[in-house]
Amino acid sequence: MMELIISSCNKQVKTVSSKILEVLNGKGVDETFLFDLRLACEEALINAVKHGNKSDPQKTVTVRYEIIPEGVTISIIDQGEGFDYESVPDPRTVKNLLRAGGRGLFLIRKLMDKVEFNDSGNQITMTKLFPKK
Amino acid sequence: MTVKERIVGEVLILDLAGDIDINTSPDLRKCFDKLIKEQKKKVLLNLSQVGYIDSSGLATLVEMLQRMKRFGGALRLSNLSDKVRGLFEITKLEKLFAIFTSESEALTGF
Repeated sequence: MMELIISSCNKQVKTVSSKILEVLNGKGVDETFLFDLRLACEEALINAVKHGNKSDPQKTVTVRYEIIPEGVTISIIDQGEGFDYESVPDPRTVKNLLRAGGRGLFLIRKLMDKVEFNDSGNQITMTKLFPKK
Repeated sequence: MTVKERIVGEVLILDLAGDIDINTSPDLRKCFDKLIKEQKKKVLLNLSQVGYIDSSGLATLVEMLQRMKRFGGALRLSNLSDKVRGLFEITKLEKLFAIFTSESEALTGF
């Protein structure tokens, strides 16, 4: 398992996703897999930086990732108080469709095969399975 | 991300290229601020060179659509890649936006 620790800065988000995608070079995954993984990873990092750590430069985000035989698993841990991940509203409803925000976690859940949180909600662990050949 | 402006008839076309994400969305919003100030009535975003968009990029587009509607303006999108189009479908934003396959299709009847 690889571990990266970043400061609470949006500029770091792309650096982390690039590092993870780099590891997949030569693994025979297609563009769709890489797009989905990048988007889910960056959305989770943005949530950790912005909502978890409230962009506090004193706080860090820990990223752990691992290539397993079935796919890729990424854990993102912030130093915030967590949140109630079960009460996040569906952004597709008529009421929420016009809202500017609120689509990050929804996209993660749609694009990854497995998404779990710890009890307090400051750690997300998500897995994307390699497509079956 | 880069933005290039073109005018075809009464339509202002913005050719966007690159990623629309948490780091580039503020620049795009600034560009939109200018168009809102100038009260541009017909704006077409050509997304053919946009390979990636995140939730903050989607939020920026939703915000722009809302702001334009307030003064009777219209916003259309064209040439979305399959992946970007897929995000509009997953989030149901395709219901909100006028999305066209090509620029000529988007300009027809605009």
